Amino acid sequence: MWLMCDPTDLPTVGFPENIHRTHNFKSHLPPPLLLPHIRQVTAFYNSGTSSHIVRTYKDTAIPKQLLTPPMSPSDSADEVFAEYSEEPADNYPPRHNLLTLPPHILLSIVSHLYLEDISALSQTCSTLRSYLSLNSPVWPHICRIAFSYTPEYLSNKQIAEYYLHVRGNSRLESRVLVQRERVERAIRCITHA
Amino acid sequence: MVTLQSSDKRDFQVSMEVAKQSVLIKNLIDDLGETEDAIPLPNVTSKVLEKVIEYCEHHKHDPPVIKDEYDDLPKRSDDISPWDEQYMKIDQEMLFEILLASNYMDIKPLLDLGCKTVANMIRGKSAEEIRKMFNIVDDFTPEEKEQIKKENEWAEAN
Repeated sequence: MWLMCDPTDLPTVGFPENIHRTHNFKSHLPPPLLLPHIRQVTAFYNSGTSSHIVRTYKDTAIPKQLLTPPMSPSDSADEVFAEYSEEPADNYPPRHNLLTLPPHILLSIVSHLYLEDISALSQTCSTLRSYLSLNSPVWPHICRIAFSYTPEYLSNKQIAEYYLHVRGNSRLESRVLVQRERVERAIRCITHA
Repeated sequence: MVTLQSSDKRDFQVSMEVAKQSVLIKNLIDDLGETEDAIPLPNVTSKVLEKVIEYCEHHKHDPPVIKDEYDDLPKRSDDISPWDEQYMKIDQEMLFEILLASNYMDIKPLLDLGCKTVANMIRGKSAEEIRKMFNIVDDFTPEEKEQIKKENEWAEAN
């Protein structure tokens, strides 16, 4: 549908190269927030007297940065739009747009779209064109988000073509799921044998 | 009751079942126990938090999602309930704020709803219309534009 860009021009999408084969996409989301702090407090609670816990919790008030996800685009948006801070509120450009969303949200949005819409989206700007080019590493993730399934042993381009061919066609989509179930059943048989 | 504090220091009292729809807050309460202290949400303004709470209030009796609703079915964006559709009739700035807040607070159904809404806004639009709708700057070089034009001609011909 549209030609590929030079793969070396692809922007980083924030995933390790080997993620799509060995890991669930969700496992690469930021780690659960607050856990280190919670563990410290819990350890203290378990080892000390209970009367200390409330004071400890209050004294060491939860650092705000622990509540701030590492991928929060609001920080970058603040930087991007800092130059407008002196202007009247009416002149502010929108603080967020598609390009300031965290990658996994953008991928989730794209996973709801079909070929024509993805094609149109990829023709809006060079960033999205690179991001959604056929050789882009995002396709295994989009495929997994949409179908909970990524075909094995295929290149990014092949997965992109496979996905764009299947997506939106309910007959083919159901075949994908049947195929997935068969593969999973075969794996279960092998692992239990 | 649980007190949530927005980034602009406004406190919101919500019931436990409403608060626990956020996995972030649920984990916090499960690990630390119930506390009378306000739980700070420094990434969420009061305006957005109010809207998020409205969603959680409406969906507080929804059965818990044990399994991902898309585990067995491909994603669909045409299955939005009328209430949710009405809820999402908001300006684009608020829509993106809700997306980010639901991501931060880990409220998956709300995040999914936001993604479906944005996908529905994109559906059926041309590149120019999407650009205009989301304030995307056309930064293609004349050569790239020419290439895109050729690709589209080729796609139409085939």
